[in-house]
Amino acid sequence: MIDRLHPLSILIYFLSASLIPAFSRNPVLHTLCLITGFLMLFTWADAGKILKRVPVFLLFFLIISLFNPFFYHNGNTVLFYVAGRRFSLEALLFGADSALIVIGVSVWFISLSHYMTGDKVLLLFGVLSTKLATIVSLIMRIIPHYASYINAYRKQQKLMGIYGEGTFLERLRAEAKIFAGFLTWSLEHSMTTADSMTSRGYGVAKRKSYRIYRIRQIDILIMITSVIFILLLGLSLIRGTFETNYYPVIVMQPQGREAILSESVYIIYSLFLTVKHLIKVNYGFFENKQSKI
Amino acid sequence: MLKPEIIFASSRRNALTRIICVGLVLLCIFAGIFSLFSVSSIAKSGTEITDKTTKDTESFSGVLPDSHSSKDTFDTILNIYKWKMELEGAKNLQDLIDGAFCDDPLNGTNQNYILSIIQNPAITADFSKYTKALSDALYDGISTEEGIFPTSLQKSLVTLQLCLDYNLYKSLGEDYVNQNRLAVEAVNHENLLNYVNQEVTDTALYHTIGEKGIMSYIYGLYMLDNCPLSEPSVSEPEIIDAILSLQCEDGGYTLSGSEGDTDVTAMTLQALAPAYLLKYEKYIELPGDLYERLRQSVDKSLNFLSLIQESTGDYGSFGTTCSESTSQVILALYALDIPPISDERFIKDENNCLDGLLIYKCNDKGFSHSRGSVSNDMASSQSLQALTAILNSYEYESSETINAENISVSKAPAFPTKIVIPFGVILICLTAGLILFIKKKKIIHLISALALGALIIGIFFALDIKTKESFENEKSSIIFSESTNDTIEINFLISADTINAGDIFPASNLYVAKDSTVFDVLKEVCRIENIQLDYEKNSVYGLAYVKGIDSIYEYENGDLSGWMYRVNGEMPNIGLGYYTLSAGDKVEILYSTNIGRDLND
Repeated sequence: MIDRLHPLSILIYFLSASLIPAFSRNPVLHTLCLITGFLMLFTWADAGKILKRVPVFLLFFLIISLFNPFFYHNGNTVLFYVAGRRFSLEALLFGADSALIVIGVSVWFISLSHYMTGDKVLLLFGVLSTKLATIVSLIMRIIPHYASYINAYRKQQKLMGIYGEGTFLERLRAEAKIFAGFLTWSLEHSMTTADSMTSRGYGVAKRKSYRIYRIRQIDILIMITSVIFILLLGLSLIRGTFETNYYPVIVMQPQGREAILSESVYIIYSLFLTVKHLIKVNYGFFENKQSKI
Repeated sequence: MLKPEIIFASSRRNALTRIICVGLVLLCIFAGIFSLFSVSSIAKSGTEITDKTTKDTESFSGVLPDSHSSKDTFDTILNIYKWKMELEGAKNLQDLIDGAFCDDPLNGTNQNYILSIIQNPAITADFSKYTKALSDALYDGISTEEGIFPTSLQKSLVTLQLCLDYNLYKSLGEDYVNQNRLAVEAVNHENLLNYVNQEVTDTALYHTIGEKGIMSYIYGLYMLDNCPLSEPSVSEPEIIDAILSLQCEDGGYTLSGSEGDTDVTAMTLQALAPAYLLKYEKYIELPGDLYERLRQSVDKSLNFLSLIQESTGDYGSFGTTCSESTSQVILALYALDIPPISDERFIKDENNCLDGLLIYKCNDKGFSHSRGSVSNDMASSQSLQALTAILNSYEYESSETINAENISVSKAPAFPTKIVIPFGVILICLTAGLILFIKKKKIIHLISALALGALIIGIFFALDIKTKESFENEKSSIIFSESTNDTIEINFLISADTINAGDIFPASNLYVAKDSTVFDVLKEVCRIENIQLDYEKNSVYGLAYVKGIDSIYEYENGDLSGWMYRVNGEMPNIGLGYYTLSAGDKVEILYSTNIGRDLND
């Protein structure tokens, strides 16, 4: 379902779900962010693929956690001394908390990069300038196309026995030959493209981009929830509900009613799109009507 | 087609390398397990010793006012012994008595330690070697031309007598209490005469009392009270009369001048206490008017002591508060049967004498002479006597007594991090490298694994990692407890008054090594006092920059806030890592919120 959403609602949802906890200083919220981020991964990737990523994240976690206490020596609970300076538990926990943020946000962004495909990005940028969008889409197509052409050319030369053996100078000459052939071909190709674009009416009138994604009811729902969530959590952030002081001793703001409310709002919001994929819930009214043939 | 021999040869070679590699891996694993076991067994044997002492102390009970339980006090006492043991390098308390104390038995400080052990009902020790050493030292000392200093001779005789008494008590056991008091005294007298010759007793009786001012009277009275010697040159009523005539107007006593001094007053009270309480038969026969004068004088002295107590509970002598004065006052109160920590006359602002004394407890478990200074031998020995007196005044039940041999320095087993961690890292890397080598059959994996291990070990050594205990108990090479030829005296202060955080390290006089910089002293003070310190240091140029002290960091209170320093009221234009101190410098490390402008106002 998520891949059929409007790119704007995807962007707003993913950015708010991952970045707002990152701006808070509350380890509970960071942990929730990481967990829901991992759950979001399950909506599109296999469990095996996800598990393969875990050791890398653990390594990241370790490095970032250890980085802080080696360079910041505040904190009252001393574990040991490094070059005459403290290596404190508080600094270690602060490092661990920052590592949670980094990993949580990166997990969310892995899902974001999966769902925000190139065409969706172009659709969003197309609003700013249609010409720029066209050029970008052309470039996005041409680069892999050219690369594959050069590889095919080189293989063909190798098979014919022209390229591949010999000294460095000979190989350089062969490479230059390939490049010359590729250049002629690309010029010819661009002329063909230009001709075909003109024949289809490029430059005749003001250009509009075609959008396959439309703002539907589900998108409106997501955007409204996002705005409510951003307002609620933003208010809590400003009021200092999530403040945690790490130095010299860890003092977390008492987890009062407001903090628990905000955290539960975050859980509901961040699982809002995930749950449907995981346990196949149907939103009913907000679903787009599919033909039942 | 390959020839069959070649295939066979190559497979055999592969099998051989595989067997060798597997063998190496197994060897590594076994070595790792073995080293782990050996380390854990070291740790176990270390904890057993500490368990033994803590288990013994658990038998003390009794909750006392101000949460100073007898167990706490006893722990503090044990810790002072441990501090002294570490100082002298002794294995246990008995070793300390037989070693360091026997080497210099006439030393007053050592005698204080001995007396405190005798008076402690929960510790048993063997003083036979010390008794011998003391009597030998007396014999040798008296025959030299200068002789022994009168007060020293008197105190030594008291110590010797108490040791003999203790030996007798130990050999007789319960009979000691049951036997006739006079018979015991007769045995004691004989004992003392066996240990010291006629010359010593004659000198003590006829040439010491009143020879060297008030102190010789005080120790003379001690000697006559404790040692069964008779017919001195000056009799007890005469001594008491002489002491009373030396009292100042304010009720105190002093060595010189007209105002009373805490130490001398407290020691006089200790000497007069047996007469005041009519402890011995000979004092019942005192003349009536002399006893009346004694009573009035002692009450006056007590008033004097009550008046000059500081609000923190401790006492001062010659203008500065110190632990020794406080210790002596506690001993005087105990001698006069006044509860030292619960009597209302000696509680100021809810702080009693024990609170006052505990101010001087240092991080290394010893006691210091002045506030914020480092541990000192004399201060520790007198604090020990005072704490023992307090322990005796508690009337706690001690079911078990600890033998001095069981009180040992509970050295936490020095975890040989310097050896074990590199060894472990090499083992892990070697194992990983070998496994990769077997799997992929490329020597580069093994080499790169070993290189990674070497890199980790290099980083480990470059970082200079120390455990908390070893860092805090390191012997200082910058700050010293006593003034010597290589030290200079400076005044040092760390303060964050500008943000109302008060003094982090109150202004104190320190003896520091010559040619030390402000930064060296700051680092040492923070290490000894366990104050948080964050700094950047360039080891090549000696450049140092302090970022935060006691968790107060730069930029925390505005963009222009940070730590600055002042020497003799002026801010030097060079970094504190370059400023070499000279004698008498007044160093202030101050927090400023406005690059020093707020400090100069």
